Amino acid sequence: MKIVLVGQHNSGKSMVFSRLTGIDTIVSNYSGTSVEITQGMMKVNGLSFELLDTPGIYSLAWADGPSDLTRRAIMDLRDDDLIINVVDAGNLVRNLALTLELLELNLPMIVLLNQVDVAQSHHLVIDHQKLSEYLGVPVIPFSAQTGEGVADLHAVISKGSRLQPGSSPRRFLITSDMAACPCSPNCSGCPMGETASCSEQPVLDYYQQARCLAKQVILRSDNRPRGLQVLQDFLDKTRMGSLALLLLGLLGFYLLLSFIGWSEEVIVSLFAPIQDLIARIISTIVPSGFWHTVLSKGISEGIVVPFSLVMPAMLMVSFLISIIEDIGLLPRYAVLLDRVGNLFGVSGQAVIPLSLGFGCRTPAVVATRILGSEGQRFIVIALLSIVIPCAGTIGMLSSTIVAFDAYVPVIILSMLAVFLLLGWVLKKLYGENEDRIYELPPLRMPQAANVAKKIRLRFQGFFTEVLPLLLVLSVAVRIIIESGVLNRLHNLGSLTYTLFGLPPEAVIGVLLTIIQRYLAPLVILNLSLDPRQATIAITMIALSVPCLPVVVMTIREMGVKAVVKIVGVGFAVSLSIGFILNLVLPAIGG
Amino acid sequence: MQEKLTTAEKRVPLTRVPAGKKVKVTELPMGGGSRGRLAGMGIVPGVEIKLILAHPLKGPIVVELDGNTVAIGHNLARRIMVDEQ
Repeated sequence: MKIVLVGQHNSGKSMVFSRLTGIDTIVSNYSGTSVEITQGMMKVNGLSFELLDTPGIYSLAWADGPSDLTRRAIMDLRDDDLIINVVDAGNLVRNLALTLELLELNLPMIVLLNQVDVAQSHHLVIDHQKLSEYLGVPVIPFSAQTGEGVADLHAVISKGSRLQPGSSPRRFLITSDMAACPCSPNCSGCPMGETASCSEQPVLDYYQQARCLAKQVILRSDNRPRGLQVLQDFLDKTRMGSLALLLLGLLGFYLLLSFIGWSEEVIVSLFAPIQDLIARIISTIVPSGFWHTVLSKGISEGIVVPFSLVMPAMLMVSFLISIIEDIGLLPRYAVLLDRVGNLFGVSGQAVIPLSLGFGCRTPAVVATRILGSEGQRFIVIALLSIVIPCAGTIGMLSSTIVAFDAYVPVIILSMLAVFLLLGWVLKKLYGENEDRIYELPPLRMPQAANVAKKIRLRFQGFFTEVLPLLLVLSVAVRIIIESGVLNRLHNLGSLTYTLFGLPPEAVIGVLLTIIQRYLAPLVILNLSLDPRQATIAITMIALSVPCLPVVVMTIREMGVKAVVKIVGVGFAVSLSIGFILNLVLPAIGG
Repeated sequence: MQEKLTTAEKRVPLTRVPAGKKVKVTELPMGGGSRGRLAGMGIVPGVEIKLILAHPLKGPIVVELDGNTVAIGHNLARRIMVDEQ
């Protein structure tokens, strides 16, 4: 027997999935967190069941994008499989509309009245027994947060009876509750649905019935706004709210940058004795000479650089993004930035993958699935790959900027200009005037445990990927520098100086970005560049081709052709920006 | 639409509705995925929604339905016709 979790967007399926299987999944407070089906095992009284977590779905009739995966998973179910319909107790009408639709499939089903703990704190009381009678399937009050209802669910599953819907609920409602319903589901007789087309008529019916049903099973509710609701009303319903969001965003960026600057100093000083120790150990093992220099410099840089430059940025960005996600602010920023998105032919929704990209671009590429079309996804992935600096990159870039006293405004302005220009060009090529719809979920207090889990999931790449890679490459870079290979490039010097005003070694550093963008500064830091040269080199690094993990992910998501295009554009952008800056920079004041 | 409107009702695009007003949806733009997404949220002809806020500079229009808040892009909202009551 297979069990599938099905529910409306943001009803808490992934949280239920985590609770039932013990598998860590990323949960957030916005529609479209899950874009894939996740598989797990659920144990009930010693028996194992396969449990599927699916992307949210509004209605089986209107499933597109990730929701279509859900629709197909449901269509694949056999008669002995089970649907667990996750219903958000705080959003009963919309959730029950889907429940009514699912019941028509006549498959065994259990309704989980999820987030009852939240509902109770809002003084919302739902008669679940009455709801169960109306629907003809078991209804279990549940909280993925506290674990309430897990035992009840296990008991119902192991009993196995009464899961099959007894009678079609539509018929049931029509015959027994006509008086309570303001609308009959019959097209011609319905005064409210007279202009609905035939395919939408069922939706109108489900919603009308869900409204009736909700009215009958909600025993007590208190709509007075309090706590977070007050804040939410301010953010969503007033113009000052938009301003507040904007200021909050700026404050977040300011906090991030000052944290990175502050932590670097602290960590570097903390690591000084460790570096000494490493140097001494290497001195005792390796006699002085070529390898001694390579190892002592390479290893100590390879350890300090990731910890002092990459780690703080990765941690802080993971923290900020997790908090913003969990409170439910991301969709609000999407609304705020909708007008900016119009410039690029993408929806404000693009703010979600783009802001995730400031953490790490690899998962951000996957998150582009919430966008409406392939064209939009390509635009956003291209912008992500070429322009958006990830946490690691931000750390490396800012340290390089400080080391060479490079011109920060020039770098930031170049990045902004490329972002706008590239976005505009991509819009002309791939953009479409797609219609935008944003759901604004209720604000929630972020849960410390969940935030910690997300930071851990986002940060674990540091030890498995960033640290080893930087260590190995730091030694490799040292070998190249100490071997004097770079000196032999000097006959290329005239070419690179004419084009970019840079020594050939720096151009090699730029080319290294293909492996991982934050590696390139390793080379740059070992060169002697003047501020103007450093500015050009750093800008070229900041605006270039995607790193390897992003390339791999993009092939998976969009195919090889898209990656070839993006890498091509990335090279072109990087070389052009270097060329242009070399032409204009002296005029500005270099 | 050839329905007779009562004198109290006026058919306008959603973008012309003042904040705080309740309106009945009468027409959605044909074709495209947006019609389906709106329908999935219960926004179909015949349903009553409340206009909360129109963001300036052709920004999204925020509406409320069954306690859910949804922001609709200006370009789409322009093509949603509603009856003011």
